[in-house]
Amino acid sequence: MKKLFVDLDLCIGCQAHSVACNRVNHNVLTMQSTDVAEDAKLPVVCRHCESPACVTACPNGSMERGEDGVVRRSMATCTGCMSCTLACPFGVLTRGMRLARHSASKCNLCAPRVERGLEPACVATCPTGALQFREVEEVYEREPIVLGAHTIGHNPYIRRA
Amino acid sequence: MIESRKNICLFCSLGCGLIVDVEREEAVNLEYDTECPANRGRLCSKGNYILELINHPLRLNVPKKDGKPLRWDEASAEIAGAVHAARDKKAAAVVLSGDASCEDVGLAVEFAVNCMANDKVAISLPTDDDKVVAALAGTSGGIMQATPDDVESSVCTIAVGDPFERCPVLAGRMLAARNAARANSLNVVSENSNTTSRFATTHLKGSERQNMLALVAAVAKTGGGKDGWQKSLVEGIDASPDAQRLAKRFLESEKSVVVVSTGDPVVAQLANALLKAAGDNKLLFALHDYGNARSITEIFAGGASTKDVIESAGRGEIDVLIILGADLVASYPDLDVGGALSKVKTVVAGAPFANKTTALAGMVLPTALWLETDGTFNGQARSAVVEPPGGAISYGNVLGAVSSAMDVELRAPSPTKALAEEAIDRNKAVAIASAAREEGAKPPVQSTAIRFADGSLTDRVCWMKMLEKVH
Repeated sequence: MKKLFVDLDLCIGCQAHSVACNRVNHNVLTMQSTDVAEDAKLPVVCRHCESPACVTACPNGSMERGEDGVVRRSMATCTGCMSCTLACPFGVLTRGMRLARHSASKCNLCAPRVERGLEPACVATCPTGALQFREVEEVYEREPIVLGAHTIGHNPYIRRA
Repeated sequence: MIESRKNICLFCSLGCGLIVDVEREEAVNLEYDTECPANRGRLCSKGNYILELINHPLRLNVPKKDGKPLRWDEASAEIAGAVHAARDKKAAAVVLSGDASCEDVGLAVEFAVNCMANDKVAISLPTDDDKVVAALAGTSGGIMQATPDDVESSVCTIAVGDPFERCPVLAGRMLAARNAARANSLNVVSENSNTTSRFATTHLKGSERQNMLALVAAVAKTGGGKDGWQKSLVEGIDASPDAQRLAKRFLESEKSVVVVSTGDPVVAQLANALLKAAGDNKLLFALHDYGNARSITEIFAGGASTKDVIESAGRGEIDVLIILGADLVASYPDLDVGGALSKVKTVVAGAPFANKTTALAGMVLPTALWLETDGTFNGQARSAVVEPPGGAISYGNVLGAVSSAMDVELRAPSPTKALAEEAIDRNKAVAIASAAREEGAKPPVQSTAIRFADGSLTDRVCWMKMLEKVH
């Protein structure tokens, strides 16, 4: 499946992805930036884990991992209890994120855009091309270094040799 | 029925293309214009706010006098009366913001001559872009301007200032150039460490002026330059070993680009001198905060500077001040704009959004954004993507309404045609130059599409506030 990857050697921390994400998701930000250091603001990308902790933790069954591998949240049943934010080991779903209609915001890899043959908004806008939407296998095959590639969540940060 | 209309972002001088999807004359979606050569679809966080800018609920849409709404004809009659009264004393002035179209600037000059009987028209470019443009124009004879594609194919790039912070899209191009081959380098000349210097191969830290001078000296001494004039000029200036190494690399590289992102005209001139000293096949890419700055300054020479207008207002010499788009209070924090405006009898402020200047103005007019105005921006004729909201009209139409209330007919100059022809010529020049480059011949002197397009400081402040809101 295709996932989001961040080329650390190209990321200048401009945070355009946050703005684009916020825009296409109607003012619900699903993708934050983290301050790794004072001058490095990396995108915090949902890994769409193979065995997602957020899905296990959700008491209402509103988080689910689809057959396509995308972890989605159902707007109808989410009560905003924030169990998923406590469970997410990568800090992608966080308490700090804005609530949309009392529900946690969740990246769905811009499904409506991808269906129209477009890239996710964060990838389309990324000024330096640091954010990439690529087949996981292809990345592991071709990129020299994928940080934490073999963790359960498939860490999305890649580096050049 | 959704219609996709193309326009550009005027928040910096790269002039990134974008697509606004319009449904029933309402902007509903922003898409990325992958065909635009300047950005190939990429947008930075500023560009992503275009839709919010158009549809912002706080857009002004009714003319107001002392907080009370009034009709456009009443407003223009009132301004016309004030301008007429100030005409004999030559005590009226117009200040336009940097995102005005070339036509609107031309109209403002006509308005000044015919209605105000003076030449007090100023363009507000508070980040000293006008000085940088003037500095580059004054000495640029024979220097080739780079296109974004040139930046991407550069072997040795020298970045002056912090272009990454100013223009992330250009940063993508510069990084692609650096990463294309192991021998490629990105070299930064800047006062302090910044976003660009984090990615630099070499960083000349310290005074930009001194480092640029050292580079010019090193390049001239290393043997570049056609006529040797530089050698006598830079005699006695010692270049650091780093500067010497960089100069050598700059000269020896197949393709070198200097990206200038500075508010200091001296540094801009030094960058020019560096290119002149280096000789052929070295290119300049000048990045400005005000994309339309170059287009405007090309057609608009003379007049007053915004600082002059504010200072003469402070001396009580101005009775009517028409400010269109510019937020003088926010743009000129060093000057006592509030005090100066309090001495002006009639302050008319037109803006898309309420700002610190409209708060001080007696009459506030709603104006259109560049996206809602037909006109020449960035050297290219653009048509509006949507109609402005409610009663908002373009800067040119404001001045047109006032002049017709004064029974003066303005013959709007049409730079569109002239600039369009020039743009065609430029494109031809680029094509000829690239063909010549491929053949290995000496390229002709050209002045090509640096894409100058940008908004005003007001818009930037607005953008930053919105960004704060998101995070």
